[in-house]
Amino acid sequence: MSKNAKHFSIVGILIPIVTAIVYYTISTFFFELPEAASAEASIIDDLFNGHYILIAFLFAIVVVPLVYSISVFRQEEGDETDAPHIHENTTLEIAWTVLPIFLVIGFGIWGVTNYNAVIASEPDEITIYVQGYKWDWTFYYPDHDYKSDQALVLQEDVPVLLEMQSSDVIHAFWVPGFRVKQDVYPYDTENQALNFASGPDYDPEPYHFKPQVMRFTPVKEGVYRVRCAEICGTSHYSMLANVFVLSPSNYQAWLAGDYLLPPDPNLVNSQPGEGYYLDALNDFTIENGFTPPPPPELAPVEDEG
Amino acid sequence: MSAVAHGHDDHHGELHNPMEPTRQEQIVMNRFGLWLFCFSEVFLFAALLAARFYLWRDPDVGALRPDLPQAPALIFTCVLLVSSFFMNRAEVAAANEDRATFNFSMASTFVMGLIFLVGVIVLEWGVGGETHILPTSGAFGAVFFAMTGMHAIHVITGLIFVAIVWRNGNLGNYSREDHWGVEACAIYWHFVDLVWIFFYPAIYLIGLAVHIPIH
Amino acid sequence: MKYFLTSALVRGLVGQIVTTWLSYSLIRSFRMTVEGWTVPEVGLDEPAVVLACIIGLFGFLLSCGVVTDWLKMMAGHKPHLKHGAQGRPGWTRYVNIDVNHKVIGIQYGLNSIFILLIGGLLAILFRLELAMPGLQFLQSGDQYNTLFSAHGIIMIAAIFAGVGAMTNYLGPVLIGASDMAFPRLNAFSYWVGVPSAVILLAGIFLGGWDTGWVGYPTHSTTTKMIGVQMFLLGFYLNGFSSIASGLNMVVTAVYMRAKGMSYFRMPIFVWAAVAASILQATTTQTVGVALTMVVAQRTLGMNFFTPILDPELLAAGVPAGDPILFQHIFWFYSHPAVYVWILPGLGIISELLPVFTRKPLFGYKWIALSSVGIALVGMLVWAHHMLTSSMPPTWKIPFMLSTLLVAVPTGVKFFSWLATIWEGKMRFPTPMLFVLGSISVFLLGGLSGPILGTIGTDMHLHDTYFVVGHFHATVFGGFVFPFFAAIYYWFPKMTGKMYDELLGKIHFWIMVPGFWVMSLLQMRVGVLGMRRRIADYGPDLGIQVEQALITVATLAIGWSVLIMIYNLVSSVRKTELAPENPWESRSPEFLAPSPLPEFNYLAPIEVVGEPYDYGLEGATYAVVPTPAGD
Ligand SMILES: [Cu+2]
Ligand SMILES: [Cu+2]
Repeated sequence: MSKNAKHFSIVGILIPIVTAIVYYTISTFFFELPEAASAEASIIDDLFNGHYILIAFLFAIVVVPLVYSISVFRQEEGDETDAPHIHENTTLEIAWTVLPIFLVIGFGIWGVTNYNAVIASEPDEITIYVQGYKWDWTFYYPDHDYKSDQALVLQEDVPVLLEMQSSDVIHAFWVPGFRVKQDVYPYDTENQALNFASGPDYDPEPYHFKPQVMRFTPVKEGVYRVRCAEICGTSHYSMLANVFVLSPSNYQAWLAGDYLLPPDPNLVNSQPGEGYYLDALNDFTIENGFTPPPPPELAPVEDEG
Repeated sequence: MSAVAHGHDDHHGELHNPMEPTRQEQIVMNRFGLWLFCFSEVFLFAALLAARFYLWRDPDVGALRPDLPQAPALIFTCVLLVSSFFMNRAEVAAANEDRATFNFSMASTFVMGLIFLVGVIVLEWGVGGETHILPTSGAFGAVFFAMTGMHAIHVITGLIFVAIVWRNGNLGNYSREDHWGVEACAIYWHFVDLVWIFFYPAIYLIGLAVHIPIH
Repeated sequence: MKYFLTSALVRGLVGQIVTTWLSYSLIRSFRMTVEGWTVPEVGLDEPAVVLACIIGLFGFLLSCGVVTDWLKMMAGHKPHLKHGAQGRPGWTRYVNIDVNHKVIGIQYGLNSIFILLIGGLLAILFRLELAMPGLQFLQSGDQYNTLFSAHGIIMIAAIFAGVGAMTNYLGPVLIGASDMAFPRLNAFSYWVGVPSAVILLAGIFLGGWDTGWVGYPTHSTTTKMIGVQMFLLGFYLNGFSSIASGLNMVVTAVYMRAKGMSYFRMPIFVWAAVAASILQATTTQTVGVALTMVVAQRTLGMNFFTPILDPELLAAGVPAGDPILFQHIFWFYSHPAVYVWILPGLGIISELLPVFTRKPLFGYKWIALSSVGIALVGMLVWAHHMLTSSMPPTWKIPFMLSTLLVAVPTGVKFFSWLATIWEGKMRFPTPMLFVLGSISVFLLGGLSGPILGTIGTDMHLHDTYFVVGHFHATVFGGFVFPFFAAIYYWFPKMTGKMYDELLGKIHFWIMVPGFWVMSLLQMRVGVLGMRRRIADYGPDLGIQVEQALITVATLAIGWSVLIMIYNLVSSVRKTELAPENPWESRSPEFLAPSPLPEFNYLAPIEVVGEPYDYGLEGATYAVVPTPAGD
């Protein structure tokens, strides 16, 4: 019995240590999330953090006894006898069935409240229409009757409501920095009223069509990327669009046409694979003969040395 | 058949399984297997029903159904139900080795099944008749033809089954102790019938009727 | 050679190819003569392809002869079961119709490994492509999409064959039966899988497809790559195999257990196999519906899945299709499908651990019932694959909760395994190494599960490489490694020869660490923003090193599997015989001769004790008759 007590105490000491090490490793390095750039990202990252603790703990309570057993409970050379005949312990069985149920309930409740917080609508949302199509995105600002083919431009700290639809197959709108993801479903490709990829109008009413909605509040100036997350054919991998989160003054200037977005010469979908990804976000040198204003977020280029 | 059948150069003779289940044991397993198969098929038809209730609805109105001729559907449904009665009589007759009743009942089952099938294809599908619905008529057409088509495939298999069992019965292959073939056919036929009992109201009775424009 | 050329396999394949080709040309010319039917001048005629593939399946089945007995029965004859090689060399049994469950099990196994190699080759091709940003050697996104789509479904076919191998070979043996309940149906289950695999593989060359293995509409209903039809049909036809073998296993376990073997005295693998078989026999039907609907929408224009409708119909109030419907029906099967693979695998882990720890299986009943629990809960979680879809929150939340609940029975298994190992006297031959490797890898899969189950975190992780890492860990830990453990463990029983222990250990020490690297890094790049199913990625994610390492790990895994195949092939040719019970197992098959006799046991066996009473003096599980004079 004292021998068993020794085994249990060693394992008991190792479990919290391993939990701490694993948690530290995955949360600060191995599964480190992209920088949170939306209000929703912070909410979701809390849940991520909870899961990381859970993962570290469950990892430890399985791996520590497993590795310990492998190193200690080995059959010795020449020993032909079997191990002790221990085949059940009802208390233990009930414990490890019931305790996880409490964990599950806990994470279930957390998951629900977290999700409700993520999808909660905010006052003063700006509505933007998003159209996904093979293999690009178009954005339409109904308040300003403005269509942006190249990029989604948002104002820092202002909540947005995206009303999204597709012209062909299912796509999915995802910006890793914002965390949130939403599948985008097709609607009438022929109907101009619903298809602002080729015209500025957008009127979902006639067909009771409910576009997919997604809400988030960008909180950090910078350049991000929409990445289509649902397989949609040939150039699914390059179905990207830039997202610019601008400061209020720059956003107003952009609406007024005074602020030119840093064009991204590499964001060309027609030539998959060819120089397409080359350091897109750091290289704004343009062949078109004009010098764009410095891109947002990116720190002013310091002279080296 | 002899032990060295088929003229193969078989040095070992036919291997004999000392634990081979007896015919009676095998029938018990067959019966359980067939019931399990029916249970499995429930998932097939349930998926179709799910599609029907998922797609045939309107956010404002609720459940919908296509506006289809009601009388023939009701009549053919009754015919199919009555055929199950004759199938049951055939099974009893086989158990009693009553060849005449068996023949009459199998024939009735077959004819009624055929009437149902032809009725669905001609009057409901509109093949060679007046068309009320097309496979391309939106979700109505798609699900209607999927449900009736999948059921019709089962009716056709059932009819083939009935025909084979009928013939085998006349070859004298069923006895009081072993008429598994008839029993299997009956279970299958009742099952196909039962499916229709769920399909008929789902297609013809539930929801608001919507007329489909056909040109 | 003469035997091979006249074998059922060759006859079936020739029959399939000839009937497919003939019916294709006939249907095509028929369609060309009918007015108003447009048939492409060049390229494939899609409806004709579909019909020809279905007819080709019948061509295979009729010419290979697996349905001959049934046709005779219909004609009123009573053909009896033909056992044994019937005068031909023993190896020909594996390429001919044979009703013996062990032959069928090995047929499944060989088939599984063959298909596994093809699927693995495809994976290695696209891993090479992904090793660096930019398109390396592939010419287009379409090629890449075909590769990963084919990899997915081919591996699934391989896994189903592997499950078939384990349940068929082990099921009757472990319960002390001479065969399955329906030997002919068993042969049919195997043989119908062959032409469907041929159709799947042919799809790669006849156009390819770019829908992934999920084939979501409206992409699958509109893609121009018509290999998608072959994918749908091959997938669908494989379902017949699943349903039939599932039914067979359940009936066998219920009615053919040895005398004295109550349900709670069955070997634990049988519990797992039955739970998996129930899932297999039922849920497969729904994916059949989903796939048929896509075929019907493509070929007949039936609108199940497109929210777009003719204005006239729309004005009349006719409803349109909905792509979400497909996802529901598809995942109702495809989530449990994963359990169909892993339950038998976890059963193998539970089966082997007591033998190599020399200790009883801890909590036998709990493990047995947890398999049933996983199967039942597994039928109620499907929509967790749709947490970013347009499904309303009122649907998403219940599915989030049911998904988290899967952790409970899974946890029971892990804890019971640990308690089995604790204070054991462990031995570490290759099968045991693979069992421990399975536990470690399945743990990675299990731990990465709940984070995908809560909606908030899934919004970030859905359709990223995190999911790829998660399910590869689940499937390798839950199926592939246990399958390999089972192959090594029962190899002496199957062949009468012993595999090479050193090569087995090399296989293990390359493959399992290789897999850890691959899977963990896949999860990492997913968290960082790498999407699934993309042919290329940018340096802006900063994941080049990880990608290169994943490719290296994949190559290592590939090589290690080749080592296993070499090991098995060269060991079969050894002359030295393996001991009858190399593992000192209590299981009845290890008390019988190796390789097992035609009908497993010379006479019915009798179960007189508990299956895993290691360490209990004088306890016996089964009384197995030995050959006279032995
Ligand atoms: Cu896409
Ligand atoms: Cu799932």
